[in-house]
Amino acid sequence: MSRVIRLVLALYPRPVRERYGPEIADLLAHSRRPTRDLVDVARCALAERARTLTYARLRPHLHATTGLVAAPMAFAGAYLTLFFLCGWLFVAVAAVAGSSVSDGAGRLLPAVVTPPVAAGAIWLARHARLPFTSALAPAGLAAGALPLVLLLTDTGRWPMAVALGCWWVATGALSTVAVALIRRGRRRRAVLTMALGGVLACELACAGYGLTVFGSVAVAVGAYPVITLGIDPTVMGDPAGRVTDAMTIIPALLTSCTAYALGLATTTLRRI
Amino acid sequence: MSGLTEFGRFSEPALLILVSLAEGPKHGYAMQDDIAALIAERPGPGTLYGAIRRLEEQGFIAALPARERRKPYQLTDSGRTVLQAELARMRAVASTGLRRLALP
Repeated sequence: MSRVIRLVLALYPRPVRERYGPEIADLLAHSRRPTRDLVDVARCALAERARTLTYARLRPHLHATTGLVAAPMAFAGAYLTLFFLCGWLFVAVAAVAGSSVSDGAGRLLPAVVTPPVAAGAIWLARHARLPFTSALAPAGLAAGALPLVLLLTDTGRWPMAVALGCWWVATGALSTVAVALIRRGRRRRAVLTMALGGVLACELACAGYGLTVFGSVAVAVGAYPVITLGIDPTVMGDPAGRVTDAMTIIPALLTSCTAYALGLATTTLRRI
Repeated sequence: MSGLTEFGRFSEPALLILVSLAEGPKHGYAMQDDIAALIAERPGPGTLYGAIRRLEEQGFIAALPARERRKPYQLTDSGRTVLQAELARMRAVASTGLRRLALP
């Protein structure tokens, strides 16, 4: 069978191709007007394909698309709500306990926000029946988180795109590996991989961002752990205010995104 | 109404296939030849098998075991009934039209 005939037959839906494909191929092979017949077959194949596009067949794809749009939205909503709630709480505590509490408490915000966001991801994956694949959850989040960050901060677009690109690639790979480990029954190794890999994914993204903004390897490598753990950024040799201002909410956001993406990917797998 | 009206643009090829199979079982290639002799136009393979698929789904034709790697089809009883009804309808339309044109 010639390649052209195979190509045209491939346009048919599988059941039709399996049932009538050999007979149509036989007629095409012995056709007296091959071009006209190839066009006729292609046209009819596309018509058959359009005929099979029912809502029932489209439903899984629609669900997947809806999920990919809804998950970043849910993340953004939950993240913003929790971030501001915690912020108000710390302001209230600082008002009662004294202004000395506010600086240190502010640095704890990322750590405080991450667990409830991860818990929300697990709840969403268990209840919303989103047909996620492990690689698509980070992609959706990267696409959804980017506008959020650009809206909230005056961060440069290219450094942010670099950071989120690095994060997407690293977390996509990480969640794929974690899901593969869970499928093979190696749950402890998967948890360990997610914990270490999640930190590395955030580190890589912040390093990409730091390198783009500062052009300094020291800042690039050290910014994420230093800021996330609330360490004084002067240990990196740069003025503390400059580094923390430039990083804005990126470390916090990426930490929560990682917890959310990994929670979604692994919980969805367990449900399936 | 004839069952062939549901076939959309495949209704005419479907009728021609039924007419072709009224003579006896035929495979696709033989149907193409027969239809070409009937209307001086050879249906394309896509059109032919689009109509065959719909006719088979409706139970108007049935596939027979393959012979020399080609699968013949034959008319079923319901296919014969549908063909009779369709041809009678066409004859009524044709005779009315000819009478109105004052042609024999």
